[in-house]
Amino acid sequence: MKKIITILSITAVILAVLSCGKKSDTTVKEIKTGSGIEMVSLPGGEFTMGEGADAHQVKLSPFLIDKYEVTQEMFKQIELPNPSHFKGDKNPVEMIAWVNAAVYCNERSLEEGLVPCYNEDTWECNFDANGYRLPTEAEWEYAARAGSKEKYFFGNDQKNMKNYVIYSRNSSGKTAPAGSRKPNAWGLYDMYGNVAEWCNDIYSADYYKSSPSTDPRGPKEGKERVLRGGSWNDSEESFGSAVRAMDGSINDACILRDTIGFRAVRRAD
Amino acid sequence: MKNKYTILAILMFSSVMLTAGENKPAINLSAIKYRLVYETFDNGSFDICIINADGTGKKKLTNTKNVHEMHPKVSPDGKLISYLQDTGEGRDRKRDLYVMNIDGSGKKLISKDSREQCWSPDGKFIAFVKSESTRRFSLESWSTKGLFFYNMETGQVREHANKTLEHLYSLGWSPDGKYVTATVLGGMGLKHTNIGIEVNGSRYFKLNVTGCRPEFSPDGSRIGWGRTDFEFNIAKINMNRSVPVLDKDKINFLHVTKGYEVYHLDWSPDGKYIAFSFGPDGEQHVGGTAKGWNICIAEIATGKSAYVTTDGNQNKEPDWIPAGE
Repeated sequence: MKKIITILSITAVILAVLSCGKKSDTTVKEIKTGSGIEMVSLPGGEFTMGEGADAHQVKLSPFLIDKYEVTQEMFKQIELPNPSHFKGDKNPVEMIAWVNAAVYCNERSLEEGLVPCYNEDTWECNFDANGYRLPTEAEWEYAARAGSKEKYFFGNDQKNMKNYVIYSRNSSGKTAPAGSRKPNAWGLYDMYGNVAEWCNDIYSADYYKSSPSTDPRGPKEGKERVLRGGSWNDSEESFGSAVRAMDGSINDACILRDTIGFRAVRRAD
Repeated sequence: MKNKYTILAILMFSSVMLTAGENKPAINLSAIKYRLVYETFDNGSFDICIINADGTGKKKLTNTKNVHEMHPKVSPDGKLISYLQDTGEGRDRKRDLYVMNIDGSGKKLISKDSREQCWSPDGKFIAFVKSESTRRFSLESWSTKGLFFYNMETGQVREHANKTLEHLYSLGWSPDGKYVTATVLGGMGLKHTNIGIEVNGSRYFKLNVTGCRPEFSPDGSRIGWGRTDFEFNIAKINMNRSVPVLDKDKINFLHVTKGYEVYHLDWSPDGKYIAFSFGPDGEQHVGGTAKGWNICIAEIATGKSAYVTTDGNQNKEPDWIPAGE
């Protein structure tokens, strides 16, 4: 009898721990960073990344992600040069080379006493550092989907796009202040449109065929970086949580685009 | 061995230096009597070299291990070189504007946290811009603010009347002395274009030139610029016209195959040649890494071109020395 009680007790404790773990894992929380920037804490989880023949299961660790695309005001806060074409404190930064997005992440880390992720000689990302970095492509898609399995985070009906997206039909040919449209289910604004967002990953069309199933971080080599989300200049057909893009304007001022910006992420712990 | 290397280099050059789809034979550089200055990476830092147009007589004018001397610009009388000096590394790096004699002696600080300089055609002023951020150093050419003029006689610095000027780079002074040209990126509401700025007024205007780094020919009748990373354009220019460069006048002068870049076009004092930097994909901005880059010369009349340097030591930013030197 004593043995049965012990087994039951242990089982109850295990179930309680699992239950607690499950509860905290599924909690999406809004937070404010040390420098006052709004972020959303996302639970780790498993989701279907890509669509059609590219669809595959990916498991991610929890992380924090900016609620809005990085704005020009956020750039000014840490005294970085603002290359944007469409000036406005609340508008997202654009004309930003990938390396300068990485520089911003490092400066923001230093501002908050965190360890910068990027080596500024090699641009390698130290994922163990607690500072800011660009999202991996998988993190970006996970955040954009916000638990949805459809083409868009708002379902499959393209007619709803105008409520959630700054794109060619409603942009008036320029960016809009960050957060001008409705957020996704996890409270993230402008995951589609306004500016396309740099990811940390190097781009490879075939990467999904060989990518690890847990915390994929992109190919080791390549010249282009992943872009996600589409911009103010794109038409309806360009959007979707699984839509992939890339660009080579990594460090070359001559080919910067006013359609490209970014948002930052960092480890959840 | 040296001859073999030179021939190999010229063959490689011919295979990538394509104008209108056809290979051009090398030109006779020994017929060019001018010399050039340029920056080169050696012994762990950038230094400034002087060299004959045919690649002989190379001599370092600076030789400092932990200090970078770059972006040399020779005064119109050929007696002085203005240049940029970087000290420190990473985010704490500093970039200052200096002048020295043409033989490398008499170094003198002109302005701290300054860059992208050029001479006025009479040699009395140096135009420059300031580094934009004091929080951390940026290698980006466009990371600048303001436009300033250093008076060589008095040592006084005057800021341009238009205080909204920002993100200017690759300054050039028109031979008539009235305008400074520049590339602008994300400044004054402009995306990425090339502008002319009145030296003694406050107005600026677009040149109708897409790309970067416009350079006047010595007589001021033409400009050359980089339309992309891999091609130069040349066109007639009239700064008194509402559209200074007409589309119909633009000529694709030189382009290279994918994987290579051309930058830093500079007209010879007689207007017959351009010198430029050429090499595999690299970083063209001052202080950027450009392994394998060399200084080259192309003849305007024929499009023929040839190497001046062949060591590939990140040789960039050539500037001709006028005959007066």
